[in-house]
Amino acid sequence: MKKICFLLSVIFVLTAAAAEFVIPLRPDPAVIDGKDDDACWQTLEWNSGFVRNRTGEKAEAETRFKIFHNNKAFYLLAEAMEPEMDKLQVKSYTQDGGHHWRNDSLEVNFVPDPNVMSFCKIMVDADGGMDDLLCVDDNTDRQEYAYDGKWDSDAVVKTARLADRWRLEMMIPIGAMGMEPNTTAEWRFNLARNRYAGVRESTSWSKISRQSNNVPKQFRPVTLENFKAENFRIELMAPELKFTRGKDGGYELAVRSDMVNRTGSFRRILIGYKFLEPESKAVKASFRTERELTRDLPVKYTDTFQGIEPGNYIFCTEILGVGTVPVLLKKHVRQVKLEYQPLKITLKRPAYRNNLYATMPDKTIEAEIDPGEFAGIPLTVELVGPNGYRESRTIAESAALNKIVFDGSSLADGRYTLQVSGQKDGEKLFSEVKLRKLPYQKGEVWLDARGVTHVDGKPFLPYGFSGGTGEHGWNYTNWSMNHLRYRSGEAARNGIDAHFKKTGLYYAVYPFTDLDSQSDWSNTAFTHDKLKGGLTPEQRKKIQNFIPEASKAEGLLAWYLADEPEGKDHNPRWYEEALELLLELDPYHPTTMTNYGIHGIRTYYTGCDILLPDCYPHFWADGSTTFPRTCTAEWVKAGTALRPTWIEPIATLWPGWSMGGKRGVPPDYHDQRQQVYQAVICNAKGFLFYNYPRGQYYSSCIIGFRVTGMNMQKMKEYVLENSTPDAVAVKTTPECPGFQAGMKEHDGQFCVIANNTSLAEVKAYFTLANKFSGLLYPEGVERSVSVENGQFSDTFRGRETILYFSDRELAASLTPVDRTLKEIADHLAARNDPRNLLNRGELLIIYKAEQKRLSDPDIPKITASSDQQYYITKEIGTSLYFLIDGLTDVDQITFTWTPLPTDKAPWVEFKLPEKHPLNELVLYTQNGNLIDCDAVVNGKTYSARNNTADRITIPLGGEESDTVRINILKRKPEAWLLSEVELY
Amino acid sequence: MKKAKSILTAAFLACVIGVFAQQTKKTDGPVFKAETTITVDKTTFKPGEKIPLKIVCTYPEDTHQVGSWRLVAYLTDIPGGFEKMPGFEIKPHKDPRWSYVETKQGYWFKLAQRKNKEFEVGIDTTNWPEGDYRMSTNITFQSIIPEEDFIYRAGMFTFTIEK
Repeated sequence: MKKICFLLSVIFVLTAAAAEFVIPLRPDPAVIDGKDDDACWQTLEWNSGFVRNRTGEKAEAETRFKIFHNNKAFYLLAEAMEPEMDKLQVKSYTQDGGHHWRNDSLEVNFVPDPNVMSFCKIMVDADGGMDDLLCVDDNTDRQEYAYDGKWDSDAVVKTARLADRWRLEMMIPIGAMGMEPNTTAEWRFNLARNRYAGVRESTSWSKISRQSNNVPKQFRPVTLENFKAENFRIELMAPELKFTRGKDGGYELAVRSDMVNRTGSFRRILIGYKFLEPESKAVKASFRTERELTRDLPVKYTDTFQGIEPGNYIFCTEILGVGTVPVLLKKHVRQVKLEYQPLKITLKRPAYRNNLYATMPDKTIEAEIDPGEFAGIPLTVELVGPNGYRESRTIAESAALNKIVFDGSSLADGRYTLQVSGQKDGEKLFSEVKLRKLPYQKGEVWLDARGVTHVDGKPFLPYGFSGGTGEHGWNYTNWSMNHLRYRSGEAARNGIDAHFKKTGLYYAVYPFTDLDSQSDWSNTAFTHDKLKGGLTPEQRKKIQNFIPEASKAEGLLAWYLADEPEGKDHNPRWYEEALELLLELDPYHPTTMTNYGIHGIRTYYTGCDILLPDCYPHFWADGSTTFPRTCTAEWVKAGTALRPTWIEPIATLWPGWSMGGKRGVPPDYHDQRQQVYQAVICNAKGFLFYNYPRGQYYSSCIIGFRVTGMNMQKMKEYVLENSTPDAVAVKTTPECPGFQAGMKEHDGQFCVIANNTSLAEVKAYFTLANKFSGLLYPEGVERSVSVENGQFSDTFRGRETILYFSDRELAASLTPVDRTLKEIADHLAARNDPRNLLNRGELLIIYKAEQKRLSDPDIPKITASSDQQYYITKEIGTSLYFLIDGLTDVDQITFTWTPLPTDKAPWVEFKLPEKHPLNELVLYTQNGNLIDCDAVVNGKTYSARNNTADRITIPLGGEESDTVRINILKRKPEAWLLSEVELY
Repeated sequence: MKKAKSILTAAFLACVIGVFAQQTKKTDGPVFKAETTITVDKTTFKPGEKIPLKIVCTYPEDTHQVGSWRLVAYLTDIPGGFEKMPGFEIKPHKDPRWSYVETKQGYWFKLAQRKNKEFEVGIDTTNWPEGDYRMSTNITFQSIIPEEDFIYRAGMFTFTIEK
């Protein structure tokens, strides 16, 4: 009996350990009619056990559901038991306005993304009113999400009211949910209920620890039985549209779609295009065409349609599998404006803002005129300007594309119009573009056709940090992003120029400021809720009062318009209107926009000159990342398809912990180079690292970004060139599909940049299109590689980036990678010198990655009479442990300890894990801030007086003790009292 | 017959990789074409359904006639598992993109038919795996005068097998 019980208990344990929720596969769909009589429902069990959010108490009114999939769609049958059906709350709300949760409703949530950076939510009330929302992480590590109502789930929904319950029957196509490349059969799912009839309660099938239905990391894991994720792996790029008028006078739309079939099989597909009215989502026009996709081969399809009128639309592209019933595989949605331009003028030169700047060496005005369906007619092209200026050209018979050139160097400063006119069959045709020729302004900034920034006419490679740069950074950076709000344009100009004079660094500044406020940090006219519509008159006035004077600052590089506006649900239209005003008020400085993902890039690019996405792979201690290690390349490519692009890679430890309990780590040198050089390959033309105050604590970041910055300025001309298309082909063993490679050419020389995106060593076989034969030199010229007719091979360590130069002299001037790796290793070792009884090196306590380490027994315990904390140390709760991190020479106040100004008898005390003979105490201060102090050991006092140096050595008696207290007797009033304490 | 068969085999093996290109290759001289279409008003079939095809051939009748046809597909153009179907054999290529599968034997048209321009054939899809297919009927145009070579042309068609 004992044996049987034991066996039974083992079986139970095994069964319990293996149990998880499985969404079963069923072949036959349900008819969505609000009834439960389909055969498929009869074979499934009800799931219930709903509990209240936050408290976990059993729901007063139960909810139950059945669910299955057929590898094409999910089918859900849910019943909300309701003893008070007569009290159901169902008010009328706009579809997709996100308000149906205010009614008696159910929220159906699917999470196909294993990293839970996004999820799909469909809210349905008891009368079938519906919102479908795509929810994307807002990148603040607060588990908050931004909601996109443009997304359409294509769900079919039917509700029904019964005597004691209301019922929901629903079908949701799997293909509408945006499969990630790493989507598998393991998802998360939750059904939540908002109840208003009777007792108000929010309940869920999952246990949610907050009063919220939007905590996807707490949704229950589910397995989709026999799910074929590969069927949905079709990559679809944002389609391009061209709107013209056809020969019959009706409008014609050409749609070009780029896609790649990653399903592993040949696919026959239908491409469907729908144009929806933005408010009502009514379908105004739809088209469908059949195509074929070869496996892994990028294809471009262009289709032309008639029957759609100019206007604003939500444009929806769908890819469906061919079959008896087409299955939705992929969906892409965006807002578009279809405008008819009979004579399209594209200004090729000048390439930026249609402006001619005094420091531009080339002041040619070059326009390309596309007469579209009117090709063949004569055209008159006129440049009209101030003081009656007019210069004309005639095209006797226009071609499909016509090039026109004017010499802008001889023009007077002022505003010009380039006009094109023609006539056909009595219809007059006319188009124009505006240009400006600008007088010189010192420090003027413009971009060339490659997107390269020029400051005062010289090419400029922005390399800097967000959050302000300390003194150590002045040597290798040339700009930073300043979060301050100034009280006036004059204050901004003075502040920016004072900083520029002191540091040599340019600033990017936020242009939207309240003015005349009590605080440089206040923001009332431009709070988040006021950026959801258009530019208000009050906002317009504040911008007009600020920009003209502030823009005269010689040290101003750019305007920093927004930090991740998609996470705050800002209206892209607001930025378009703000940009229009800024272009007029300040032609001399570009505007930048920071977004945290491709969706944000594509939504907000119309509101800026330069995209500056912050893309953080999230580095974990086991070498894994949240986003693929190719994500930097993907984000930059998304940006450069739309605008000149800079990039904001991560330069600190963030986030501290992953959902699965992995510890965050700062990017090491390989991780840093991987981000930076992927961006260079993809033609990023500037760098802003996040961020100096937090990152310059980690040895890899202190040294790595310095070396990279110095190297990049030496090879600046290569970095600023666009990569030569198709110049490098690579195969690797083992196969590394994400391996990155590109070529930059400059002045007859070239550089190949290559990055192994896997963690394993690979051998890479390169083929150069230029058929070069000779030697190439990696950075530092510690070795060379021999190239024969364009062919060479090399071995890459995991994550390694190698740059190969044909210019030996340039390569020799760069710091080799292994030397930097050694410098970082030596720096880390020095921070953990075993002779020093106190130092513990690089504790990963910023962003709380290892804060609990501070209570480990091997860590000295540090106490103080008071602690004046700043910014980061306020978040951590202490600045004391920066006194034992091995950094003696710091340029961040965060990494120091200072007592409060009100502390009349300040002290700091160190208690070691065990006793030692104590021979010497070394204190590091700044600018001689610490003047007099006593060190007390076992009741004996050892003094330092009249100090003026930054390093104070106090001999101790050699007695055995585990405690030393430092009493501060006299100090300067400034902060930065102690940056490090050593005990020997 | 032996000589013809060896010529057939050697020439076919040498040319089969380019067979899809030959379909669109411009040449001076007589035109050889094989256009294949599904003759019913659907392109989605259940496993086991017969897929009826019409092959329309263009060729110079004074020098050639239609000899045989076989079914061919690149491995990347058929669902996984198909390559193991009985009656088919895999022809691997060092670049796996060009590996293909073909019917083990060609289907020879009856002598009386070999001067026809249109042929109706059928494909038995018993036990074929579900998925999308892009296949070709490879036609052998037999030379009927000693000075001429055999010519091979392919007619591509696509369909879906769905349970």
